[in-house]
Amino acid sequence: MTTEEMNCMERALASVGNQPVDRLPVAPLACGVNRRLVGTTYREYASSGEGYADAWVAGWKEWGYDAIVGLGDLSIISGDMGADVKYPEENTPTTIGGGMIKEDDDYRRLKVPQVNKGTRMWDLVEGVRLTKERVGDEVLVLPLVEGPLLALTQLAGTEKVLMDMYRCPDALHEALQTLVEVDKVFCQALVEAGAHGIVMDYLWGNYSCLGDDQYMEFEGTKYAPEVNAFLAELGTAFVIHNCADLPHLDTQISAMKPLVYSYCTYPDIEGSLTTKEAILKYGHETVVLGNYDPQLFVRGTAEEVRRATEDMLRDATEGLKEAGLVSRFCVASGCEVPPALSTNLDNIKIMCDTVRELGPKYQAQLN
Amino acid sequence: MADNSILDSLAECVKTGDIPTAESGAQQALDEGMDPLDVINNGLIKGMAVVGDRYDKREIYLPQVLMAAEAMYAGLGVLTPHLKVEPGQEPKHVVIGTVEGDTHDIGKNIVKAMLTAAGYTMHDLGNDAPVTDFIETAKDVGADFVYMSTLMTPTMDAMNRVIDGLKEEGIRSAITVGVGGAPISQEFCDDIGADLYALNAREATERTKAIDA
Repeated sequence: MTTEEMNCMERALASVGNQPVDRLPVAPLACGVNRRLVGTTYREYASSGEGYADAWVAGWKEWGYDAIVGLGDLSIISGDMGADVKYPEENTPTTIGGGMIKEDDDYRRLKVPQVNKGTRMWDLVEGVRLTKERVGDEVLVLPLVEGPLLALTQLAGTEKVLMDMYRCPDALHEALQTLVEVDKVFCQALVEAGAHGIVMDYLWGNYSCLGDDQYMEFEGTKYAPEVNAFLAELGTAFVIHNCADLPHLDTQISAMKPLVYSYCTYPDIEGSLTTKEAILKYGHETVVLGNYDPQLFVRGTAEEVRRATEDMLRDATEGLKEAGLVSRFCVASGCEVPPALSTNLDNIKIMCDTVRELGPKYQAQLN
Repeated sequence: MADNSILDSLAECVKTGDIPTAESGAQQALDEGMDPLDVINNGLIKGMAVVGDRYDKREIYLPQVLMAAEAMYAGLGVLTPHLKVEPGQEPKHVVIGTVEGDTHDIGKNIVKAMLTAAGYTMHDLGNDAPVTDFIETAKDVGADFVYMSTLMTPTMDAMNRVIDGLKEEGIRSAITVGVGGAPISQEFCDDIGADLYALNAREATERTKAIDA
């Protein structure tokens, strides 16, 4: 697959440790889109451990990126807790209607499901186990898990949860504590199945939705830290993904201290950090997982994808140099590569090939 | 209570998200013979405009905006059945929804609240709205605007299919199509042939009003 100096795992670990690398790692958050390599529908991909593993391993083998991010969808926990989930044939499953919570006490009645065969959590765990059997320790396997507040909004509906922050905060707190326990059970199973780390999705920590006070009260002070501490006890790597605009970076990076932070840049939104800005501000605290527009994979020409990738390499190199760092950055998309049938798979290859081709040249300025 | 203090009180109910008092206040205004349009414009909408400003400046956030919108809708629910619509002053119709496959609708709901406050008649398809719902509703109500939102990249294609459907029905040219949501960009808007891209609810409202002017 590659004749580079380092294998994927060596490169990723060196990057985390800010050690010299042959080139910066690349990880285009290609998850459900990989099903197209093995000829399954999205529904088939999202319905079994084999579905996940076949797709994830095929994508890694095809494009040779440096981390397998195991994203199923954001309805796994809510579905296993009893929410109605729709499973389109060729699109991401979605939780319907927030029908689980009709009155305040419904928040208190939520129960922690077990990761048993027949649940979607089990399927993701199996996906990790089968993937790990096939790839061993050649490449990082990092499944994604919904954080407590995200899982709650999937169960109850976002609008309801946001307004219930005023109407019935005590009930929300009880539900969030239950969801912390769900996250713990799920993460433990994923780690026991062989995951090298867990990507926690703390989506609602963003200034388009919540100010500091409410984010801290309903996730940032207690619930996320409790999950994060549990991951530390498990001895597993802890990554945060937050593709919302204007994430609470001081909280989610400086306070929570993830090993890696995955985010998206929105050039039209004031305050959205560029690659270089993110590295300068946070590069000593976390490995920044880069951030370009996932729509490039759908609509970008080959030249546009190549140029955007080289721009990211250049910006990252400048940022790392200025910050006195060597390798703490990973070229990536800001969110999942769209799993739509219209996504141009060649663009994933172009991104990865560009990093392999040009990465060493930029890295020579840093090592 | 003097008219002005009822109006100020209603504006305050919206600003503080006091839903029951907005409803009772609106009823009190009617009982005292006030013009419902005046109460809407100078009470409820005035309050919502302040809320919108504060949200733009990040002095308040979504929970407060949603509570304010609910208070506004509570008051509107009492007042709008009593509105007299003069010929030639029919409000413009906006069909709005989050596209099929996506259940995120916060941003859409904020746009809906702001456009309601701006005097538009909103036809809300909710979330996970099928492509056909956008097209059929646009036909049924004689829509002037069709606005689509999504937070997810996999569901953006649905916007394209809505535009294609409007063309097939022969109504595309009579409708302004707007798109928004985190993964949406001006480039995407141009690519799919939509007319309007808005970064946030304030831009959506201002651009809608500019088109209408």
